[in-house]
Amino acid sequence: MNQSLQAFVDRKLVARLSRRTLEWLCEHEREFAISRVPEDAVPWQVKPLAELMFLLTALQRHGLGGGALRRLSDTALAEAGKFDWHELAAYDPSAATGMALTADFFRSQQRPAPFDERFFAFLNRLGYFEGMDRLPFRDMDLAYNLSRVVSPEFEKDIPIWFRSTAFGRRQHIVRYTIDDVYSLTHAVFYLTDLGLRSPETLLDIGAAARLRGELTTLTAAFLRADNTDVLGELLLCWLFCGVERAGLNRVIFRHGMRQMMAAVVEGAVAPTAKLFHRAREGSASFHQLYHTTLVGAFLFNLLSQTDSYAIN
Amino acid sequence: MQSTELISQLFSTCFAESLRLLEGFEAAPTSASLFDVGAVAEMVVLGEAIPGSELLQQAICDAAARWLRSGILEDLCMLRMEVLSHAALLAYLARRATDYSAADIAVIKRLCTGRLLGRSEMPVLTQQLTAAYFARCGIDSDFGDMGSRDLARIIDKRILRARSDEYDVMAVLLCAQLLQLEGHLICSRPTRYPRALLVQAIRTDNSNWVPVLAYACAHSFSLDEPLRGAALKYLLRNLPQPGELLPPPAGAGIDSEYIVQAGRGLRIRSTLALAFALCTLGDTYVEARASVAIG
Repeated sequence: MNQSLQAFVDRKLVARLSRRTLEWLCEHEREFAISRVPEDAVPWQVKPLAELMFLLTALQRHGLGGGALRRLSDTALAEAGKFDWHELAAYDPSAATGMALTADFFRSQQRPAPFDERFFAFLNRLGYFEGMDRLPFRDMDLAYNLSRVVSPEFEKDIPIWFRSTAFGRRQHIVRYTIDDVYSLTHAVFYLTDLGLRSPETLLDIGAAARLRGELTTLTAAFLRADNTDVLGELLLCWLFCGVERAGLNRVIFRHGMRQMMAAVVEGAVAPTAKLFHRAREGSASFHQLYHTTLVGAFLFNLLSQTDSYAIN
Repeated sequence: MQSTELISQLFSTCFAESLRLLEGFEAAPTSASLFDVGAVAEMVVLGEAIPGSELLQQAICDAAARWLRSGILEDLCMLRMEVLSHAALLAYLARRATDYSAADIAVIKRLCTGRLLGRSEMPVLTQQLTAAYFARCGIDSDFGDMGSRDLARIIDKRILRARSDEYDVMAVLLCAQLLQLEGHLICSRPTRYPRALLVQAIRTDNSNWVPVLAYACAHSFSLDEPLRGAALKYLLRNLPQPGELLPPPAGAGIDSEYIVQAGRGLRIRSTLALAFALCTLGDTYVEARASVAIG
């Protein structure tokens, strides 16, 4: 009886937080605008907007809609439409991923990309984007986005790059650095097409089983860490990989969710306890909060609005 | 000959400065100072066949062996995975120490075999180079699939970029080391980008980069006669004062998750590269021009 009552309360809370986090993103929509930071190596700050577009495309592909998402999409379309992506591309080959992701978002909104796609295709044909020694999960990122907008042929590179990631190299579970965990969570995003295909589509059964096992163990480890950004991404991976939520796994997932829910302050999701207090005092910046809030919004919305992921 | 005097003087300066660097690291070993030592070691390993730097080479090899024995290297590797490639290079150099024994590498070997070292996410070329150095130290762990990359494309396609930074010089040096170790396994060698970067360094008056790139091109890639002459002319016009090092590169002190290099290591690296370049970029020309330059 107590368990079903708790499940009911959790479902209600997740539904409320899914709305509240989207409201926070709407309230701060102007801060996703691309800013110019002349002293940085790449003087345009496109990451927040690119990550917002990534979330919006993913939620739309999962069949989620609504007023807040429409409003955020309109903002993203307007902001991305104003920016000169050609200049960014010429400046840095790492722009490839952001541009492909942008084109994907615009397509999802039935709009042409905000740059000349022939220029992008030309740079790609020229091998310009290959002139980098990226981290393997960043190569997966590029292959995934190119498979979405250029040709499905690029999909075959995803499992190849995966073999060179920390997980692919059989990193010891106790030695995962924060960067290694981000590599794993992002790799899962691309392998599973954000939950729209099973990991077994691109991995063999053994590797997929090991993947689910390590996700569970790492999530348990991060229950004791003060980092809801990574924790949120790990919980998303549970959904995307279909990690079974029974027995001990159920306990781990539930505690993870509790931490995520507890980290919400005024609609933002605070990545650490320190920032939680600063957010409550109103002194945390947009840049300190936006990423974890995107992660939280993704997690809460999938759980509350997609039957296959439903909590409990 | 004057040219020999000049080169000897450069080697002496590098030796004295390197000893200070090694002592500083030994007194307070940090991952940042290991990057400094690593920057020098990268150039030492590329110039190992050049006579004149034996004392410096031996000092680094002996120090590396001491650090292996005392556990300093494995401690730093356990703390920060980013230092692993430099630790692998130093372990490789340690084998030439006068008192090296196979037992010195035993702990790192066990940590690699036990998957506690060497598995973190790194760019693929860094993974390959680290594994190649460790393999030569008798660490034959399977570090997992490193994939196959077309070295020429990764390096040469950088020519299309609108800007260059210290990462590009590092990539060229990393590639040069890979070619030195495993050149027989690499089908396509980069040629264009290292030369283009050298031209850019000359045109932008980057006296830290020119000797590094000139020597790297001559040693590992290619350097045609006109560019060789231009590089040499530039080097002889930009010699450091006696007892001084070349200046740091513009914008040095890059600090990121993957690079922590202070100016000192980069200054020794470049001054050493200058000595190597003067030794190799056409002897008769060196002699004649050096005489003029310091006459």
